[in-house]
Amino acid sequence: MKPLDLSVWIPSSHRTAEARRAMALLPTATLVVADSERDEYLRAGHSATRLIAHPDLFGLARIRNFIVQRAGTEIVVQVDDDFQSVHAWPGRKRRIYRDPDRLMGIIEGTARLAAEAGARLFGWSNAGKPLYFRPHDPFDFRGPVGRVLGTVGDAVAWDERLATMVDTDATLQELLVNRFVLLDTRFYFHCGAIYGNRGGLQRIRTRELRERDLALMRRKWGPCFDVTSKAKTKGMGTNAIRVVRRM
Amino acid sequence: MVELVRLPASELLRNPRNWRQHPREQREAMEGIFAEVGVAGAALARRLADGRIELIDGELRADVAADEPIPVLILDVTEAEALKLLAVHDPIGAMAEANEPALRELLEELDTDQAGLRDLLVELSGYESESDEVLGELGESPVPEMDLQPYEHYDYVLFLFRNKLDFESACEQLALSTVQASAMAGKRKIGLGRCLAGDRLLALLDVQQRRGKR
Repeated sequence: MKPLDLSVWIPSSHRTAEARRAMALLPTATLVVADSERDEYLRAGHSATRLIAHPDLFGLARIRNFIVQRAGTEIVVQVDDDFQSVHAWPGRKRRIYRDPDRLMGIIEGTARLAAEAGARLFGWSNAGKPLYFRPHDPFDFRGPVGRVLGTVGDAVAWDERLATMVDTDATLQELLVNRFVLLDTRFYFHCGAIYGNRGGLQRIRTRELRERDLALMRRKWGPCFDVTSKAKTKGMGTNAIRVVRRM
Repeated sequence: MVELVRLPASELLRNPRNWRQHPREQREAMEGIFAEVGVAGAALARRLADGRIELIDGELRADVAADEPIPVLILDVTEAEALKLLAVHDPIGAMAEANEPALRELLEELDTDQAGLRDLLVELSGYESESDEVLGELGESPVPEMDLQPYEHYDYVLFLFRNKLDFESACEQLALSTVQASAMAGKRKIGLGRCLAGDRLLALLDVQQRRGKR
C-alpha cells in the first residue's frame, strides 16, 4: 500500500469568508496568509493550527514558491481561496461536487496520474461551460494550468519578477523544459468569475502592473503567449498560450 | 426565416433576456466598421403576437445605428427557440479557431483610420505596439526551442474497467503497484485512474512476448 505524499494549500488574501468555505470543502488543507493579515483571519474564526503566515510576500509567484518550499511533500496542490465546488458533465447535465471526500478523491486521482505520467505541473479544466466540455477528450497536455493546480517535486518555480499571469508563465516554462503539463479536463474547479471576486490577487492587479507583466511575458514568450479578447473580462483580457503539443 | 426587412434600429424592441454586455472597446470597433464599411450583417429578430419586432441578436448594431435603418432577418421561431439562439449564437461563433498564418496574412493587408477598429486588429494580431519593438529585437520567434519536436505525439489509450477485479488484475499484469486513496478511507467515491508511460508499456510487452516464446 502506497498512499500519495500529497498536501493541499490555500493561499488567501483578505478573503476570510471565502477561505472558510474553501477550507470546509477541503478539510485537510492548510491556509497561507500574509503575516500582517494573520490576526484578521484568526478573528474570523480560522484555526491557528491550519494556518501558516508568509512574510508579507508580494505577488502570487513568491507565495507559490513559498508554499512549495514549505510543504515538504512530493505533491503540492494549491487551491484558490474562492474555490466553491467541482463541476463535471458526465452526461447531459452538470454535476456539482461539494463532498470533501469526493473532492479529495478527484485531487488525488489527477495527482497520481500526473506523477505516473511524469508531469511536474498539473491542473484541471479551464472551461466552466458545458458548451466547451469535451467528453471524448479527457486530458490536455498544453494547459494553461491555473487557479487550482498541483506540482510534483520541486522543479517547478514561479518567476518572481511577475506579480500576475504567474501560472501561465509557469505553464509555458514547463512546456519548454518538461514538454508537457497535464490537465484533467473531466473536472472544473469553480472559483467564481475570473477577475470578478474581491480580495486575493484582485487587490494588487492594477492596469499598470498588468501592462508591465504583459511586456515581460511577451519578451519571454513571444508568439507562444497571447491575451484573448478583453470584451468579457473587464478590459483585462484572459491569458492564452499558443504551443502545439498534440498532432 | 420569414422575411428580410430594413427597419430603423430605434424601432426594434430590445430583448429583456439579452445577456451580452458591450464594453467601450467593442462599441468603438463596431462604430469604426460602420463608418468604414457600413452595416454588413442582418440583425436577428422575431415578431411578437402584438406585431412588434424583438431582437434576438444585433443589439449593439442597433444601438450604434440609432435611427438609421438596418437589415433585420425576422425568424419564424417560438420564444423557447429564440432563447436558445440568444444563448448560443455568439458562443458558437466564438468556438472557431484561428488559422494563424491565414489570419496574419489577412491582417497584414488591412489598414484603418478608425481607432477602435485599429485596436481590434492589433489585438487580433496578437501583439500590441509596445511589444513590437521588443519582438523586433529578439526576432520573430524568441523561443524556438518551444517548437514541437518530431517525436512528440502525445497520444494515449484509455482502458475503462467496470469492475475492481479486472482493474486490479490489469494493474498486476502491467506491473502497476497497488495504491491507496488516503482521503477516502476505503469508501471510494471516485474511480481510480492509473497512468503507464508508453515506453514502459512497450518494454513490458516486449518482456512478456519473450517469455511466451520460451
